[in-house]
Amino acid sequence: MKRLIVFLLLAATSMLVLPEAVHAQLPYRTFYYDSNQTTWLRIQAVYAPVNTHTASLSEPSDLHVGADDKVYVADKGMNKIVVLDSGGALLQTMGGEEGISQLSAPEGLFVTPEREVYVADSGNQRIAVFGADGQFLREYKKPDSPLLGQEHFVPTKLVVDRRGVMYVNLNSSYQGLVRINQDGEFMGYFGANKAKQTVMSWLKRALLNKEQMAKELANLPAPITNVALDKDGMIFTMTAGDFGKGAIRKLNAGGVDAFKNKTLNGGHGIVDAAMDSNGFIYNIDTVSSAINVYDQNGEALFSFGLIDNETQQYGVMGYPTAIGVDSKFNLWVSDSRTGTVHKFTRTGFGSDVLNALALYMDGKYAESKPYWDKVYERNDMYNGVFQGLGKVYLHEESNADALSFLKIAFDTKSYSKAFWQIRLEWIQTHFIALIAGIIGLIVLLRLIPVPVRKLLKRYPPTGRWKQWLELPGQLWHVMLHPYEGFYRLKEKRMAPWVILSILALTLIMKLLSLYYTGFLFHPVELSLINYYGSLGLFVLPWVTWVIANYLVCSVKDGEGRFGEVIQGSTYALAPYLFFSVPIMILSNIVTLDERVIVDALNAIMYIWMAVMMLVMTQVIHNFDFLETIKNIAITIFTIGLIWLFAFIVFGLSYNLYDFFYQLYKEVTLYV
Amino acid sequence: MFKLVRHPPVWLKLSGAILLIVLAVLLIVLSQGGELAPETALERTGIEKPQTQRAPLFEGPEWKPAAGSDGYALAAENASYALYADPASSQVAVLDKRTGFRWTSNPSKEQLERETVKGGLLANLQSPFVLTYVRTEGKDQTIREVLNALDPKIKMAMVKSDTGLQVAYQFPEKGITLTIQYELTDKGLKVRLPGDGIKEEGEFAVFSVDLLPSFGAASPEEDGYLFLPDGPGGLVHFDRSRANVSKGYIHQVYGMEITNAANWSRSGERRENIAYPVFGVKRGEHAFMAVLSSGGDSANIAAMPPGMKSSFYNVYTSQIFREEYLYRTSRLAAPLKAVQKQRLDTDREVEYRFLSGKDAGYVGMAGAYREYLTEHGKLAEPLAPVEHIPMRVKIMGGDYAEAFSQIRYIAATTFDQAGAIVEDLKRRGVGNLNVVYYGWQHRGDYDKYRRFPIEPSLGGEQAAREFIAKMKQADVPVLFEEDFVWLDPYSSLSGKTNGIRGIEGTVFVDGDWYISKPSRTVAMAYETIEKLKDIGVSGIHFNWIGEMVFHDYDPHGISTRADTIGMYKGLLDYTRRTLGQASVYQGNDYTLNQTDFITNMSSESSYDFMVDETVPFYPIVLHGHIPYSFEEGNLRNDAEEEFLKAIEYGAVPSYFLTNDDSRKLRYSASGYLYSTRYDKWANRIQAEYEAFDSLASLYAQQIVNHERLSPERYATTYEDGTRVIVDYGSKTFKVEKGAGA
Repeated sequence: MKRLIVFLLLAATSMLVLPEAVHAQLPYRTFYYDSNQTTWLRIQAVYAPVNTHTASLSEPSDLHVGADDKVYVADKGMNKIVVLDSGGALLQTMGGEEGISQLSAPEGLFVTPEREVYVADSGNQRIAVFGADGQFLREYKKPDSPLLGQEHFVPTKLVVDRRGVMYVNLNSSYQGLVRINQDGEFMGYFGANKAKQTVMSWLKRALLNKEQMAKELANLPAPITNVALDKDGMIFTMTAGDFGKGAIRKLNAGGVDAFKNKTLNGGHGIVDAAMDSNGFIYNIDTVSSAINVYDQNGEALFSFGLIDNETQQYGVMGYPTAIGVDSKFNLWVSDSRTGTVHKFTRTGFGSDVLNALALYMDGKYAESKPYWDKVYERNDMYNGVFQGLGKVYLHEESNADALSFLKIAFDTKSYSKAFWQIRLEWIQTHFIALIAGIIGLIVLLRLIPVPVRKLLKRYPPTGRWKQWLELPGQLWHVMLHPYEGFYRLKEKRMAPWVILSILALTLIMKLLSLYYTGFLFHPVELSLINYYGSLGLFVLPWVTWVIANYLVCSVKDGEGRFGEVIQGSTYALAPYLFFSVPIMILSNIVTLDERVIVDALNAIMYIWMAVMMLVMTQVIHNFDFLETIKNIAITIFTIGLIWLFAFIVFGLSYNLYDFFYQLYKEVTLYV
Repeated sequence: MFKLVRHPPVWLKLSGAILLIVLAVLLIVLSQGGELAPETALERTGIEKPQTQRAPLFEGPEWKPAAGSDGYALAAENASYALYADPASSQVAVLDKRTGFRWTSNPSKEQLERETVKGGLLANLQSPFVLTYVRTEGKDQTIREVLNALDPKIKMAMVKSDTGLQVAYQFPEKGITLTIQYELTDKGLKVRLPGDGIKEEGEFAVFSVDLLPSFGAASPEEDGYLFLPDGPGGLVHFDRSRANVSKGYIHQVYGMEITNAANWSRSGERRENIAYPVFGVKRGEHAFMAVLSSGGDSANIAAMPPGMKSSFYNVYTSQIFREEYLYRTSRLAAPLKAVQKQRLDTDREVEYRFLSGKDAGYVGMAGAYREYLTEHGKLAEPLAPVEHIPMRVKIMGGDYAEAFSQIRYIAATTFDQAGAIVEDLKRRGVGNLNVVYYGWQHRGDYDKYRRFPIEPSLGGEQAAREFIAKMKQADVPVLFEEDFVWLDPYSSLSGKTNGIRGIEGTVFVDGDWYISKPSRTVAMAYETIEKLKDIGVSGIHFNWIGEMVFHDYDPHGISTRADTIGMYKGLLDYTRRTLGQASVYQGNDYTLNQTDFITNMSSESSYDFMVDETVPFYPIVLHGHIPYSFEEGNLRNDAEEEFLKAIEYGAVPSYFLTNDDSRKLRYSASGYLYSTRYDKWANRIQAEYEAFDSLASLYAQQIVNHERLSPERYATTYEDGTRVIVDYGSKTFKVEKGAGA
């Protein structure tokens, strides 16, 4: 769903982008996932389709690539298991025309390393086992166990672990996989999904009695869609729906999910997934209409391929049913709509980038470097390469390079490490200069005021100049002695230009902090900052505070006039003015290890401002403390109301505006 | 006085109001003014409004021959071929007198005995045409029904001419008349659907006509293949089994009609559009090449494998006379389907040329097509030999992006830097190169109507002049790239008057972008060329001209794809006359005598289930006449493989370069330039150029043969006998000098 939204957003921004030229292309586009910007961005192809011209199939329902790189396809239409070679040509078929070896609508299969083929023979309600030569070996019917109860034994997908235990997915069973040992005995359920708890279901349980509950639809867990086994014997279950939450679960023998029910980007319509020898995961997702590639932790990397009902092209799948990966990292997808098998092979670029990622994930930074270099040569827009190479440089202790690469990749954690090193080196080499500089600065700060004061004494400033010069001191005083400060302010009304200049200064500070806060504390692309929006979000709360405060307090018999509220609220911004410069400077000096300094300063600043606002309210309106708290609570509520109201008005008027805009466009373009 | 001002009299108020109105009108007029009227531009460029020529119907007495023993009667004859017709069924056959081989319009009786389809499909198989029609009255006007020559109510009338035969088919119940003309030529047969021969006198309308759908139909047991114009050329072998091909191959020449929203329902489809309207069949020692010599822009090329509509392989043209489209009755309701009212009233002609012996293959077909183009003056003159192979260097100046909450131009290569790149390439031994400069327009692609002044952050006009002058000294032509077809929503040009319209009459819009009418394209190009000529630019690299055509359903007069093509050809011609050079992308066949270069020509298939093998048909046609390049060397998916493909297919090298990191452009529309920084690529380019340059002596020669030696080894032979053998297994190639070299 999120993916869909992203695509919609992309479509919305497509105004910027020229319709793409139609030359030299694959039948689909490839994207990489940029986790910093949480969007999919274009990249050259990592996988390309291969014209396989496979033997004609009828309705391939499952596919598994054996250890020998042969492709085993369960054909539901022909009631056969079809074995293809690595070029897609027919090698042999399994399943007889009659008798015990005859299959009926097989929906799943699994090939053991010993090349025994386990078939989920759905129509016959059994599991049939064939030898490597295609000879029927044995069958497993529904195990005789009271625990299995009335459930129909219609196996759809299965895997077999090293000990020969079968994990069988039954047709729309919500209880999880059925474990059956080699003797055909039931060994319990495995890996069921959890029922989704919603507020509604909680309410129902709390309010309804037993009889009423019985009438409600049972809140059942989602049935498992598919199951796969990786090289380490971990069992992966795939579950469609719920916007990708728990779409792939990586279960150990105890049924514990190593992915912790994480949300898989592009997993809402998951059909199947396969894992290669490096641990990369490849899934087919009908919602994003693509094959998605994930790393070992289920983080999205790439997306390619297309699903289209009316496909006539390799690489564009009609109704994909299963995915498999062979030892050369070729992907195989069975497609029951077109009765074919699609093969995808890594491009030169794809091979480099996935090799680099595999080594990088293993922490073999030095070995990954040549691959990263090749990737970097061919793409300097892909953020992964900057992260990868950045880490390599960090590892090689070429910290300056690491710094620039990691900054581009927005990898703050590693950036912080590189920065720590560089800072250390800098301090070590410039230690004396640094100390001298600090002493010099202190001396300077001590010395400068002396002649300035002298000057001021000799030529005492008058009028505006005087007020200007007094302003910082005044702000400082209000900040440190708010009660006294606000009392004084109340008596003496400041000129509008003073208020305005304080407000302007605050805005300038905000703007400066947008662009000059250290990278570690504000890791964003500076050119993409929408400063109108950021400033708006800064100004709006203050303005609504002023309005709400005045409205509420005048109703509640507060003394303060509107002008006083503005004046007080302006002076209450003093901590922002005094704190933001040191915060800005510090944020450029400290690393993430010492981030607590900056965070604490930030927190103090905001708390201080809140206290100032409180004191201001109390003083200006002449409330007692409890009254103040009460009125501030009401003020905050009022702010909420104002925003809600503004939102509704804006929404409605936007509709009106849109109506006229569309009308205008209709007139200019269509008539 | 004061009083007067405070209470102005009526006359003052009135005159003030009038003055204001006049000012407003003046402002509007002035702001609308700057555009050059398309008519004026057409006049100044010397491009004539397209005229349609109609083939006359044959006049004469009805021809009622007696059939021979095989059911056929001789209708026409020349030195090489004889045309026979069956008076009863109107099936035709062409006898190749040199070989004695007979090409028939339909399968023979013996072949049909084994046929498994029945009813309508079997009747279609025995008819020289299949006509699809729709109703123009009544409730559902989109239901398509089929007529063929086996219709019991049909009235046939044959008329002979000196060189051919005309058959008029009349369906009295439907009020539809269709006329087919056959004409023998020295090289083969022309089959024509004259526009004047179609009559719709009832409440039925012709939707499409499949012309000779079974001509040369072959059984799967035969040795041979169908040739399809997919990418550089595609073969469908008779002896292959393949995936479930549910639709066959049916695609419109030059791609789908963009103005028709119905075509957009499957927006996902990405494929190589048909660039040349050619198809063919090879059966054993015999073959034909068919080219859509007239009306090809409104035709589909269709091919069916056995099991679809019959048990034969066949390939033919499906001529489009009306389109089905979607129209909206309101903004909320779902669009309805409708069929176009007015017929696309043009002549349709397919020319078959017969080949035999060693010419019976895709290389022979390419030769025959080249011959056809040359005869009609549709192909550029042969190239002059060169000492070094020319390399095309595309330089991206920059593009605009939204940054710091405003539109900003991001420069990636200034004119000075571009000069330095070219100098460095020369120093590295690139002996022959030409430059295309992108993104020179004011603010790049933002407000595409406003192109001048040349973007100041690249150095502006002054730097452009200096750059071009320096290049002239070094004998390097500089072309400027420009798209005169798509207009962005920020353009100051009115979409209402300048955008093309769909069948339903509204301006065609794609994400707020619209497409300029061809005459406006010419006008914009004319104005641009005027200015660029002054700066000294050697030519223009046109975007979209060589790869996309469309109808314009303007209520004041429809212009068809053929009209668009006419304008585009005129524009290319004018550009070459005025500046010296013009080049295009992809290179649809109508550009072939007006372009000096084709970039990004397709080298790959569309990965269709049906197409088994990709062959360099189009490169064989073009080599020695027009230089062409594939995907830029630094933007390939697979660097090695695509490099070898370029060598095998005789392409020239091409690179897309910038001075700075292309990363700068990632938030712009040029985000596809994954890696273009010159110093990253310099060494690789030098090495690749040396490899390409080893084929310099072949540059001006035609390709005379191309063969597959093994699944991984391919050989391309040139006129002087030189063979280039490419080995995809070992990733190498070698050049075997021929006797003539």
